[in-house]
Amino acid sequence: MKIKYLVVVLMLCCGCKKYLDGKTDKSLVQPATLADAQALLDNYTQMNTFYPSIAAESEDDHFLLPASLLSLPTTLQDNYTWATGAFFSTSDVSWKFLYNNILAANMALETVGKNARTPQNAADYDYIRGQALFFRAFALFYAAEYFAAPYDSAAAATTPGIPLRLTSDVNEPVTRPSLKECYDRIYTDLQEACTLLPDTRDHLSRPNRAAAWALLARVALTMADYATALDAANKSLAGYNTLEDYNTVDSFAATPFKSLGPEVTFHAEALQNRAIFSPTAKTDTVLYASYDDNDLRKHLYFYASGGGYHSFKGSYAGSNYYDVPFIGLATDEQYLIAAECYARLGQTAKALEMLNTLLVNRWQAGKFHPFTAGNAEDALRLVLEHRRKELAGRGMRWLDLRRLNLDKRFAVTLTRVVNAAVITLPPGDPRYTFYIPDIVVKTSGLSQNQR
Amino acid sequence: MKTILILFCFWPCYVFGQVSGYIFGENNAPLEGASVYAVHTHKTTFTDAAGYFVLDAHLPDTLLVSYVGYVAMRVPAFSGMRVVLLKDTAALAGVTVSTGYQVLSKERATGSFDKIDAALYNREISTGALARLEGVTSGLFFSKVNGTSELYIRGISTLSANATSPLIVLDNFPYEGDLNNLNPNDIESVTVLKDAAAASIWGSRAGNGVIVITTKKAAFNAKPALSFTANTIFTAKPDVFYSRDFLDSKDFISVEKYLFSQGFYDDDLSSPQHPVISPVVEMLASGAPASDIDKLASFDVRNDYSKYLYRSAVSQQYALSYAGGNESLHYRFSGGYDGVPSAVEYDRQQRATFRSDVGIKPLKGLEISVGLQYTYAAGVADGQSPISPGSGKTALYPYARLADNNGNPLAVPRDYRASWADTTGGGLLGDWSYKPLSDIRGADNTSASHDLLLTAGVAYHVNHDLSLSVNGQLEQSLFSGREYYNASSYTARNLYNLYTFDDGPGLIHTVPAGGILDRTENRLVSYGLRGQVNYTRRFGKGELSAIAGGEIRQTRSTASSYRVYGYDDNTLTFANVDFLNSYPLWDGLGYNAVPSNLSFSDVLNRFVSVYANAAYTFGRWTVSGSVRKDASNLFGVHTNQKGVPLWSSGLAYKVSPALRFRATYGKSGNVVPGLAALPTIEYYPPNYHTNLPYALVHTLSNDDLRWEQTAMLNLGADVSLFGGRLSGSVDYYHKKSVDVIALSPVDPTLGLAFMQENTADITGQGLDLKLNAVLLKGPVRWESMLLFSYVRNKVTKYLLNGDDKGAYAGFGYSINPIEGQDPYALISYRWGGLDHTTGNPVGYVDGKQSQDYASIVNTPNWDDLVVSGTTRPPVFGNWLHTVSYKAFSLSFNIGYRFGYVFRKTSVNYTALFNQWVGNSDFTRRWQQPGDEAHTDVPSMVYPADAYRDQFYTLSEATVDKGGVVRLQDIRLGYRWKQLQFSLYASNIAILWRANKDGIDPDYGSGMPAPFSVALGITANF
Repeated sequence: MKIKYLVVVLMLCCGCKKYLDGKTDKSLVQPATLADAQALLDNYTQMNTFYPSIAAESEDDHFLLPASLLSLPTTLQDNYTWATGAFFSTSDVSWKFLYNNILAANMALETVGKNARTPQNAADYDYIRGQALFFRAFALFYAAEYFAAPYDSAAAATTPGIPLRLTSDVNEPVTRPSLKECYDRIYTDLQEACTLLPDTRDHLSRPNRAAAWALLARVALTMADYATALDAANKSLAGYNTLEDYNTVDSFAATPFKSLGPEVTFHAEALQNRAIFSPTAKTDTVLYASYDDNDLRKHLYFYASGGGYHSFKGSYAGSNYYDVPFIGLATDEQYLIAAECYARLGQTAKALEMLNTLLVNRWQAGKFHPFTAGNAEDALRLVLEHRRKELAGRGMRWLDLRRLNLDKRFAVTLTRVVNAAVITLPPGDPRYTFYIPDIVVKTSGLSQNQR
Repeated sequence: MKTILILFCFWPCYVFGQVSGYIFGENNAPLEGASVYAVHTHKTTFTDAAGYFVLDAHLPDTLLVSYVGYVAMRVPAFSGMRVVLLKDTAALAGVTVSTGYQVLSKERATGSFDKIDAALYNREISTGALARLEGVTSGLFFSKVNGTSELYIRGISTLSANATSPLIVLDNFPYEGDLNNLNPNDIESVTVLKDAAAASIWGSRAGNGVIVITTKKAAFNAKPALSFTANTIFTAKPDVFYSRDFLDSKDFISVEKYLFSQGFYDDDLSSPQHPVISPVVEMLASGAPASDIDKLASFDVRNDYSKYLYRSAVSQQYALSYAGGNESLHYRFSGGYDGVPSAVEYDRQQRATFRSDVGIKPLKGLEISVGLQYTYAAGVADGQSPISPGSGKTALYPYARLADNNGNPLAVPRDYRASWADTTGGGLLGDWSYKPLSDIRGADNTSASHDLLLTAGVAYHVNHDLSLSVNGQLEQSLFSGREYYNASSYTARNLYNLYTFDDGPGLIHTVPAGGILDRTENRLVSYGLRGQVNYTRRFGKGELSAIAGGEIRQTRSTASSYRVYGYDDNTLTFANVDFLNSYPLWDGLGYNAVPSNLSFSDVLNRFVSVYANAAYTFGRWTVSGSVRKDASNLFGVHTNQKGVPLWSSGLAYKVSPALRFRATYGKSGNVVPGLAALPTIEYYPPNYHTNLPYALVHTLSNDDLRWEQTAMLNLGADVSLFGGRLSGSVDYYHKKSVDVIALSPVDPTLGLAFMQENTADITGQGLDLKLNAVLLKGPVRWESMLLFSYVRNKVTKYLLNGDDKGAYAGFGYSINPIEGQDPYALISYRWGGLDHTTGNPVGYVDGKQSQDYASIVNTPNWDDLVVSGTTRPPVFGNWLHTVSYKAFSLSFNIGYRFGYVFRKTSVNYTALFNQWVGNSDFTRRWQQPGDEAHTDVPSMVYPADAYRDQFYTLSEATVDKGGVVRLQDIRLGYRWKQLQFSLYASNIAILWRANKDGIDPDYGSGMPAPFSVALGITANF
C-alpha cells in the first residue's frame, strides 16, 4: 500500500518539471529576448569604458619624474621599469574586464540565437548580433595585444594566443589556442559584423558598419595584412569620414575635445591610470618638440604642467578627466591606416593624399603646406611619424611598438633612467607581453607568459 | 515515589449518575486530553482544554485518571472534583512530540526533541510567540547584539546571514508569514527538533533545526470552556545614559575649540556645499564671547532624548477563547488583542487575532478539521531616535537642545549649515530649518497588515492500523506601509528647496510644493498540500509505526513601492514630477534627478517533496529511519534530476525505566534564498550617457546549485535517578556542513571573478544538557531545571582568501569566514601598547613594532593579527527554580553565557572630529608621558589619522571578555478558584559580568532591554 502510494507521488513529481521551472526572482531575468541581448550590450560603463590601460606606464610617449614614480604603487612602478617580477594586480583588472565584456557579448549572442530570425525582427536581429560580434572582437583583440606575443604571420600558428571564449558555458575548459586561431576568429567575426551592422549611426556607444570596418582595419594592420586593412579603412571612411578642423577647437580649454566628437565612429575609453594621470605624467620632450609650431595638435593635445614639461589634455574621451584615454575608433586613425597601407603597397601619391587630407585639418589655417615624399618608403616614414603624433594618448603607441619592432627599419629600443640606472627595452623583448593573471594560470593551468 | 493527591471540593453534586470535574497538572495548569475512566461503568472520556471532563458514573464509583507523563491516579468519583496529577518522574517522561508530520511518543523516539509544554511556555508574559522559548530551551541561542534579534539552534551551519534561522512550522506546515502574527495565547506547546532523526523529515529546510508550534485545539467530548486572559506589562524607560558612545558637552566643546584653532573647520566654513556646522563652531567663527560658549556646556542632549523621545510604556494583552465538543464535533474559537506602545515616543504596535479550529467526525473513521486564523496588525512609527543631523554627522553634538525651557521645539542644523539654510532663499524659498520635535509630532508613518491562514485536513482510518490523510494550507498576507511627509515636514520642505534652481527669469522647482507620500505594499501568498499514509501495527512485542507522503508547497512574495510628490492628504491631489532628467540643485549643490522611490520585486519559491519515516520498537530497542527527496525551482537542473535524498537513521536502547541511550545520524539541508541556478541578467535603470536601460550578467548557469547539507551525529542519554528526583537528558552532537554556499573565486576568464557556489564546509560540535531536580518535596516543593549548552563551530573550507589580512579585523557582528576559525571569529590587530613620548598606539608589521598605521591595517600577514575569540558564546544556559506552596508558586530564571569576547567601542578621533561620534574613553586618553601605564586610549592628534583610529579601535586593546550571569526573570503565581494570577518581572539585573566597563555584552553598544514587570490574570470557566 505504502509502496503504491509512493509510486503515485513520484509519478506526480515527474510531471512537476514545469512547476519547478517557475522563475524564483522576477528582477533576475533569464535572457531570452532580443531586447535582453541589446540591454546587455547597452551596459555603457562596462562595454564602453572598462578597457585596460595596462600598457600606459610602459610606453614611451610620456615619462615620470622621480618623485612621481616613487609615489606610485609598486606594481605600476614595475610596469614603468619593465620589471620582470611577479606582479599581477594590473593584469588581474585588465583581464577581468576584458573577459567580462566577452561574457556579456557571448550571452547576447546566445540570447539572439534563442530567437528565430523573421522578416519582422530581421533588422534588430542582425543589428544586435553584429554588435555582439563587434564587442567580442574588440575585447579579444585587446586581450591578444596585451597577453600574447606580437602577431607575426610566420610564427602565429605556433605562438600561444589567449583563451577564445565563444560561449558563456562555465564548463567549457579555458585553454590557449594559437595566436593565429585567435586573430582568425577576430577577423572573421568582424567580417560578419560588417555584413550585419547597419550604416546608420544610432548612439556612439553602439557600433555601426563604419565602426566594424574601422576595427577590422585596425586588426588587419596589426596582422600586417595591408591589403585588407586598406580595403577596410576605405570602406569605413566611405561610411563615415568627417574630420574636425582643429582651428575651430579652443586650445585654452582644459579639455579641448568634447565627448562623442565629430571624428568619433565608436566610443570607448580605457581605465584611468595613475601613471598617465595628468599632470603627473610628462610628455616625452622629444615627442613634444617634434610638433611643428603651426601644428595645432601641439596646443590642443598638451599644456605646460610645470618645470618646463608638458602634459597631455587631448583625449577624445572628452570628459572632465582628460587622463581617461580614448581607445575607441575615430576617422583620423582610418586616414592614417589607409595612408600607411598605400605607402606599404607602393602607392605613394595615394598615401600622401590621405595624409594631407587629415593634416590640413590639424594645421593653423593658411599655414599648411602639403607634405611630399620622394618614394614610398619616405611616405611610409612620414605617415608613421604623424601616426604617433596624431594618436598620442590613445593607447596606440604600445600596439604600434609591438608591431613595428618586427620590422628592422622601424624597430626602436626604449630607454628609462631610474635612479641613475639605465633600463632598456629592446625590440622583440618578451616584456612586450604582460603576465596572465596568476589565478587564471593556477585555476585553469594555462601556460604563463615569459617576460 | 508515588502519588500525592490533593482534592478540592467546591460544590456538592446534585446530578445523580454524572460526575464532572477538572484535571490539573504541573503548576496547576489544566491538562487537556487526560483520560478519565470510570471503573464501574467502563466509560471513558477525555478532558478539554480547560482540563474539564464530564462522565456517566454509578456513584459511588472510582475514576482512573491518566495522562501521558503523569502518574495515573485512582480517585473516588464525585461531581465538581478537582484532581491534580503529579508528573511521573520515576519513569521517563511519556511526553509526545510533534514533528509537523506526526506526533511521536518521546519514549519511543530516537531523535533529540525538546518540548516546551504549556506550563513552561506560559511562564513568561510577553506578546511574541518565539520570545518565550528563551531561557527554557537547551541548545537554542537568542542573539540581540546591536539591535539584532536572531535565533540559532546548535550554532550555525551556513555562512549566509539570511539563511541561519531555523524552520518554523505551525502545526503541519512551514509558517512563511511574519511570526509577530502569532498570538502566544493560541499556542499549546512548542517542540524543538535538534538532531537529524528529529528534523530531517523536513529535508532541505531542516539544516538549521526546526521549531514546531502546536496550536491549542479542543478535544472531542470536551465540555464547553471559556478562558480569559488579561495581561498588563509595564516597561521602564530605556537608559539613554548607557551608551559609551557619548562625549560630554564640556569635553566636546574643548575639542571643537582646539580644532577651530587648528583651522579644521576653515574648509567647511567656506565650502559651497554648506555642510552642517555646530553652534559652538558658528560662535567661534563669529567671535562670540567665550562665556556664551561655555554656557552650552551645561546642556546634555541625553536629558532631552530621555524627556522627549523615550517613555516608559504600558502594553496590554487580552485573550478570550471558547472551546468544547461532543462525540462528533470539537471546536475552539479565540480572539486576542495586543497593544504595545514602543519605548520610542509616538511608536506603537497593535494586533488583533482571531482563530477558529473545528473538527468533525461525520462518519466512522473519518475526521475533518478546518482552521482559520486572521491577524490584523497596525503600527505607528512616527517617532525617531536617534536624531541624525545628516551631512556626514552620525550623532547630534552633545549640547544640542530639542526644546527650550518651556518645552517648545528648537531647531538643530540638518544637512546644511543653519546660518546658510536660514538665509539662502532670500525669501524665495520655504523655511529650511529642522525642529526634530515638531517633525516627529507632525509625522504620519503607519503600517497595516492582514494575514489570513486557512487550513483543512481530512483523515480517514481505513482500519485499526492504517489511515490516510490529506492536509492543505493557504496563507495570504498583505502588508501596506504609508509614510506621509506633510508639507510642513522637514523632508518635504528640504526636497522642495533643494530641487530648485534659478533659470534666469525665475525659480524652477523640480520638486513641487506640498507633501510627499511614500507607499509600500508587500504581499505573500503561500500554499501547501500534503497527502500522507500512516501505518501502525503491533506484532507481539514489536510495534511498527510508519508514515509516507508527498507534498507541494509554493510561496510567492511580491513587493512594490512608490512615491508621490505634491500630495495633499485632505484633497488627495498630487503633482507630476520628471523623474527622468537631471536638474541643477539649489545654489550649485549638485545636479540630480528627483528620487522616485519606485521599486518592484516578485519572488517565487516552489518545492515538491516525497518522504517516508518509520520506527520499529521491539522490547527495549527502537530503530528509526527517514528519507526525503526535495526538488525546487531554487535548485539547479542536475540537483532536481539526480540529487541524493536526505535521510536519517536512529537507534535507542532502554536499559531500564530510568536510563535510555539514543544514537542518531543523518543529513538535512538548508536553502539559501536569492541564488539562481540559471544564467540570469539583472536590469538597471537608464544610464546617464545613453539614456538606455541596460543589464548586467548576474549569474552564470550553475546546474549543480543545491542545498547546503548538514550531517549530524547525535548521542544522547535520558536518565532518571533517586526515584525520579533527578532526571534529565544529555546530548552530544557533531555536525559537518558541506556544500555550504560561499563566494568562491573562479577563473576570471569565465567573465566573472566570483560565483556563489556550494564550496565551503563548516563543522560544529557541542553538548546539550537538561537536568530537572526536585530539591524539596512536601507542602513546599522546590524544583529546579538546569540548562547547559556548549557549541563550537569552525569553518573548515573556504576558498576566498583575501591577501589583505588586515581587512579581517572587525567588530564580529556578522559572519567573518576564515578557514580554520570560528565563523564569528573576532580578529584584532596585535597591540603593542602606547608610545611613551607621543601616546601613539603601537602595532605590528611583519612581526615588528610599528606606527606605520597604513601598513598595519593593510597587513598581508596573519602574524600581525590576533584571533581574540568568538563573539558567540560557546557556553550558555539557564537555571530555573520553582518553589510552590499550596496555591502559590514562585520561580526565577538565571541565565548565563561564558567563553566569548566582544569589542567595545572606544575613541575614534576621525569619527569624533568629522561625525561627532564621541566616546566616554576620551577622558581616559593618553595626555602625558607615563599615562601609558594606566590607559590604552591613544592621545588626541591633529590631523586625525583614520588608519591610526582604525588600528586602535579594532586592536586587542578594545576587546572585552563577554561572560555574563543575569537574573533574567521572576514570576509569582497564585491560583484562586478558577483564577490564576501572575506577576512577572524581566530584565532584572546582571549578577556578574566579566567586563569591567559596565557593558551588557548581550547588547553591545545598543541599549539593553529595560526592566519590565507584568501583571496577568487568567480565568477558566
